[in-house]
Amino acid sequence: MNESKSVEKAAEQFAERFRAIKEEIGRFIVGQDEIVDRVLMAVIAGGHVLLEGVPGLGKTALVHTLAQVMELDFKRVQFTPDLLPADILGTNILVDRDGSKVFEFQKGPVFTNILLADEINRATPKTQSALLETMQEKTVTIGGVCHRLDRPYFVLATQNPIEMDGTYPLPEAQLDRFFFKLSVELPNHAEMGLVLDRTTGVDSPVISKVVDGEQLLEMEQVARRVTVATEVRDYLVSLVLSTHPDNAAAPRDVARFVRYGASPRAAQTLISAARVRALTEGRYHVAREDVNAVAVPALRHRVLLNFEGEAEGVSTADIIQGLSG
Amino acid sequence: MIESKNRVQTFAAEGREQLNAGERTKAALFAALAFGVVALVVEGVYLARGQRVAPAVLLVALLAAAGVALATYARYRFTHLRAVGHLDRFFKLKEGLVTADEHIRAGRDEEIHALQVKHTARRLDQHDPAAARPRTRRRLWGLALALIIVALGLLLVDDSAAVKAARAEEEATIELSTEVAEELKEEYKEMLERLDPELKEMLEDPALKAAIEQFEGGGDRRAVMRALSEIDRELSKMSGQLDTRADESYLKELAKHLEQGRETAAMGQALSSGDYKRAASELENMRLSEFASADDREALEKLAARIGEAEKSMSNNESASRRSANEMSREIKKMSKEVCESGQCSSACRACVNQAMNKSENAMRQTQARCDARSALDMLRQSLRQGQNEMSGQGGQGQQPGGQGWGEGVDRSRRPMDAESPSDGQMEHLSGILGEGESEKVIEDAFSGAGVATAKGGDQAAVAYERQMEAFVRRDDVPEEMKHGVKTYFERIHELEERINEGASDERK
Repeated sequence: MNESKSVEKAAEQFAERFRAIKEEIGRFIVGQDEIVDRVLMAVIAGGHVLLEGVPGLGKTALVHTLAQVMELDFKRVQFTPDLLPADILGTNILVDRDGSKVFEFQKGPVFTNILLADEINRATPKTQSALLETMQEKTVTIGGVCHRLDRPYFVLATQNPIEMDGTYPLPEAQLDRFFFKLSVELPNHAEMGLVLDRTTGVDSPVISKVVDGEQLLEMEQVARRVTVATEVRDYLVSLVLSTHPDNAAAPRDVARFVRYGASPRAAQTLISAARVRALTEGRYHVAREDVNAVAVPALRHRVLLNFEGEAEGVSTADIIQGLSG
Repeated sequence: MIESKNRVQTFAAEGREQLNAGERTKAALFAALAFGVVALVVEGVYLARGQRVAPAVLLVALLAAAGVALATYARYRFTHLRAVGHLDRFFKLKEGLVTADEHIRAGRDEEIHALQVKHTARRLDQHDPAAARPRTRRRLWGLALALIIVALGLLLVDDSAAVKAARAEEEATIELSTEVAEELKEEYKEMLERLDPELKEMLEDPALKAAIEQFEGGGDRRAVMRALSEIDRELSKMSGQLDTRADESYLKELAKHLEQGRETAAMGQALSSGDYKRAASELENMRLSEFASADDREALEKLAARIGEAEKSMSNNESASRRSANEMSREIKKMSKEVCESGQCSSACRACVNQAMNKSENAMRQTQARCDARSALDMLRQSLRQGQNEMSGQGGQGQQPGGQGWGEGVDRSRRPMDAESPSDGQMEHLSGILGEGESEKVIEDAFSGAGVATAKGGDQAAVAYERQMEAFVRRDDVPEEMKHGVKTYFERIHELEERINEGASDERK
């Protein structure tokens, strides 16, 4: 029973920390509760987030605030078309050491805990792809030497959906590495008023650090222990498989508008996110509603529409919502 | 942990029991509905026929209801897993019960599992598994109850008047037909006992015997009547085989002539009264003995003369009596001739005469026997007919329109010999004569009608007529031969008209 109490205590701490992080972020970020929740879920689960929204909605501010709340190293890279992989990963440079010239690895901005990849779709695919290894294996290999990144490590990328000139849409492989893709919406009237109050006055809210890296990793471990019943797991698998148009269980809309469905990585994402959500809801087991709640951000960038779907203006979010009921 | 597990297990078991109790109630409801519906359908069939519903019929409905109940319960019964899932959803436990049950069943006892089970048990404390029991469907129960009440109420509906009448008729038919069958058998037995062995042998027809013995009473009046008709047919056939009408006809005619003579009057009277046996005895008495006198021979000669007279007055008669009488007459005449020629009758001649007389006697005796047999058969037939009449008259049926009663017919074989028959039973073709008889068709002369002749519109009609002809003649798709034919036709009509007009003007002049 003592051990049980320790898990219970860890779970309570998890919920407490989650609430504290949210509160602290909420001191600066107005509204966007759902976005904040989901970003936190992704961060706790060790995933990366792609934030999509028009300029000025506070995407970068959110990531800044998050970095401030967590006692973690934070770096920001503004992606531009002339950005090179070496600019973000690092490179070997020739240095004079003890009278002799040697190559020394100069670490790039990816060697951090939180990397803000601002306007990621403005960099060339070559540079975008440079992030693949860091996002999946959390390592950087240069000159035959593999450099491990610090833990926790997560990429929070932003992209602008309307300015398409001079941009390079993220390839499917890159997109699949993102845990969640979140669409940041315009705040409502009251929220916008509060934004003005908080950002244009003399006093700016002071953000204090709530959790450190260790605690974040602890939260991830606690979340991993949340149990999933076979029935719920089967439901999740069915949900993912039904996004494939060639699956017998695929509904009519999927068969008609979808070119390719979600990958097994999407199922992993779903179950990890659902576990975190279950804990935040005070449960020690995953429910169907947890899976449904995280289905859209976890699958929307992994379900690819075909030409007919694009032409009809079908939204992947609608299709996924239709699947998850 | 154990306490939490027990709580979860108890809750799941109690919940399952409640759910299955609900399913049992549902099965009972469906069974009640099925009972009501099936009972009403089956009862409807009975009532449509006007019959009272036999309570045993409800066994069908009962079996159907039992089948529905079992099938429903087997189909919707809650297994443990299904019950847990249902309870989870019903109490909005967000898969907590499902997960906890899985942990318990899989024997998982790690910290997180224990914690999950504990939390679930804590949540279950807020719920009562009895609440999961499905609500009673009052409307459907009401409907089922109403159906059952109606079905049971219909059991009280009595037979219709027609069915009652039919049933009474059936019972009466059984009673009457049994009685008729017994009477007929008894009558047949008595008849055979009463008759001489010779006649008995004559009348012991296996087909008739079988028909009478196999005839039993029954409720089907038609079948009974059919069986009686069969016996009647057999009797008629036998009666036909014993036909003595030709013999009797001849013997009656002969009797008229014999009665006129003193020597033959006794025999004639016997024949006239139909006592052929006595007539045969009388004839036997007339046989020639070795010491026969001239009177005896004279009596025989007169007998032969009477036979000759009768022969002259008879036309078509192929009876055995006639043949034997003629033979006897011939032999007597031969004897007379021999006596005239030789003055005495030889023994051979006498023997021939006696033999011929013997044959004639036998023919008479046989006729008598056949008459007796026929009379016995007629008595039996009379008895049978009485039975038939009783059967026909029973049940209040009679000659009714629409084929509900029996019809009237004529059995030509039962007509008396001298009755006139419109035909011999064959189809007759009656044909009329052309030109004879009245006709409704009237041929009216054109000028005798009430209409008034007028030439109004005649010119336009002629012009239209001409145009049609020209249009036809100019058509490309019409062959030249046909165009020529049409043109010639119209030209000849014109010529004819012109000639008529010219003739009329000449007459005027």
